[in-house]
Amino acid sequence: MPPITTSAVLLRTYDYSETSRIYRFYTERHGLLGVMAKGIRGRSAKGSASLATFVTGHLTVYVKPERDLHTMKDFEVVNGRGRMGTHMLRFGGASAVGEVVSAHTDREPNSELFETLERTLDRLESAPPDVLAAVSLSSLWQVVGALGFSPELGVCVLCGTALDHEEVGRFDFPAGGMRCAACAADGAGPRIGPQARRTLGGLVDGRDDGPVTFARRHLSILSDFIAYHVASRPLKSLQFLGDLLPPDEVEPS
Amino acid sequence: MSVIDQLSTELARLPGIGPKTALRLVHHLLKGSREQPRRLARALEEVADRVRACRVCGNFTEHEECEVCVNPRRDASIVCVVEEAFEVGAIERTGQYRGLFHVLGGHLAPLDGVGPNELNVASLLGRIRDARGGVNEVILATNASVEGEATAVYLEEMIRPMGARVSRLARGIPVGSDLEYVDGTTIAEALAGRREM
Ligand SMILES: [Zn+2]
Ligand SMILES: [Zn+2]
Repeated sequence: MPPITTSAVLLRTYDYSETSRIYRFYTERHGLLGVMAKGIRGRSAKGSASLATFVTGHLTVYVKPERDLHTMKDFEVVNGRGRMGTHMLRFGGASAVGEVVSAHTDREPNSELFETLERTLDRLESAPPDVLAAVSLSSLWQVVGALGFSPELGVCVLCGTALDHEEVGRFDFPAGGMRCAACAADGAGPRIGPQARRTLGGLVDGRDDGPVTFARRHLSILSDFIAYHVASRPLKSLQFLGDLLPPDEVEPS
Repeated sequence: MSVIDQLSTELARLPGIGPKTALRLVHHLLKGSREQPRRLARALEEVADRVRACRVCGNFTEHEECEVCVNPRRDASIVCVVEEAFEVGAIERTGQYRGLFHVLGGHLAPLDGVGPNELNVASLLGRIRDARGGVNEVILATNASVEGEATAVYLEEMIRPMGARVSRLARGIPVGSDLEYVDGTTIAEALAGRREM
C-alpha cells in the first residue's frame, strides 16, 4: 500500500529502543495517529532534531487499517514552534491543549479540531507573558468547542429561560451549562456571578485574551467540564497548568 | 510458568525488547557455557545491590557520595545540571569539564504528572543555598527538546535570584554534519548562538 501524506502536529514522543521512537500525532486527514519511526535516534539520525513536541509538518506514513501503530516514512517541518519551551505557561498551556486533543475518544478525523489546534498553539507560542494564563484557558475552551462541547451560558440548562444580565446562577456540569438563580436553589455546582460569566463567555469564544482574574477558579470549572464531557480519565497536564497560574486573590462575586 | 518463560517475561519488560527477542536471548544464553548466564546473573545482582544515587548530586555510585563529589580536585564553584545520571558519563568522557554535577532525574513532563516537585530541584537549590555564594555558575545541560528547554527556563528563574550565574549548553550544528542536511530549526539556533572568531 502506498504511503499517505497529511498535515500533522506532534503531541507526544516515547522512546522505544536504542534507535526507534513512537510518535503520537494529530493529523488533518486521519485524526490521532500513533507512528513508529525506526532509526530516528542517535547522532546520525536524519530528521530526529526536527521532531520536537508541538511541531507541525507534512507527515508521510504507511497507514495500515485496523492497526494502532503505523510506520513513518518522512516528516517535513512546516512550523517548528521552537519558542514553546521559553515560558512555563506557554509550555503548560500547550501541553494541556495537546493532552485534551489526544484524550478525547472520537477517532474520526476532525478538520475543525486540527485547525483549532494549529491556531491555539500559534497563539500560545507568540502571546506576551502577561496574557498567557488567559490564552491557555481560552485555547482549552476552543479545543473543547471544536470537539463539539461548548457550555451553554446564555440560557438556563434546566428551564430554558434566558439568564438576566446581572443574574447569579450556578454551573451544572452534567447538563453542561448555566442554571438560572431559581433552578440553582439546590446549591449544586459552583456559583457564577455576572462578571465570572462574562469572563467565561470571553474565554469560550476566544475573544478575551486580556489578563484574567481568578484564573485558578476558571481552570477548575474547565477541568470539571472536561472530566464530564470530553475525557474518560483525569488529565495530569491540567493539574500541572493549575500550579503555574497565579493564586486567586479573593472570593469571586 | 516454566523458568524459561519466567526469564523471557522479565527480559521483555526491558525497553525495546519484544517477546520474540526475549525468547531468542534466553535460547542464546542456554546454548553456550553455563558460566555466561551465571556471570550475567551475578552482575545484575551486584548492580541492584550496590549501585545507588549519590547523596549530594544523584549520580550513580557504590558509596554514599560519587567519585566526582568526593574528588578534591573538582571545581566546586560550578555545577552542571543534567536530566539523567547516564548523561554525567557523556560529559565526563569529553575530559573537558572540571566542575560538579546535579542529576534532576528527568525533565518537566505535564502529561506524566512530572512537575518541579517530582524532580531533584529542591536538593539543587539547597546545594546552591548551603554553599553561601560558593557556587558561581550553574550550567543547565538539559536536553535540547521543548521539555528540556522548559525545565531550564524554570530552573533559571529559581537560581538567578540566588546570585549564581546561569548558563545553557550551546545548541547548533552537530560535528561532522553537512550544513545542507541540517534542519532549519538547528541552523537558526546555531546562528543565534554564533561566536566571535
Ligand atoms: Zn432555570
Ligand atoms: Zn555526587
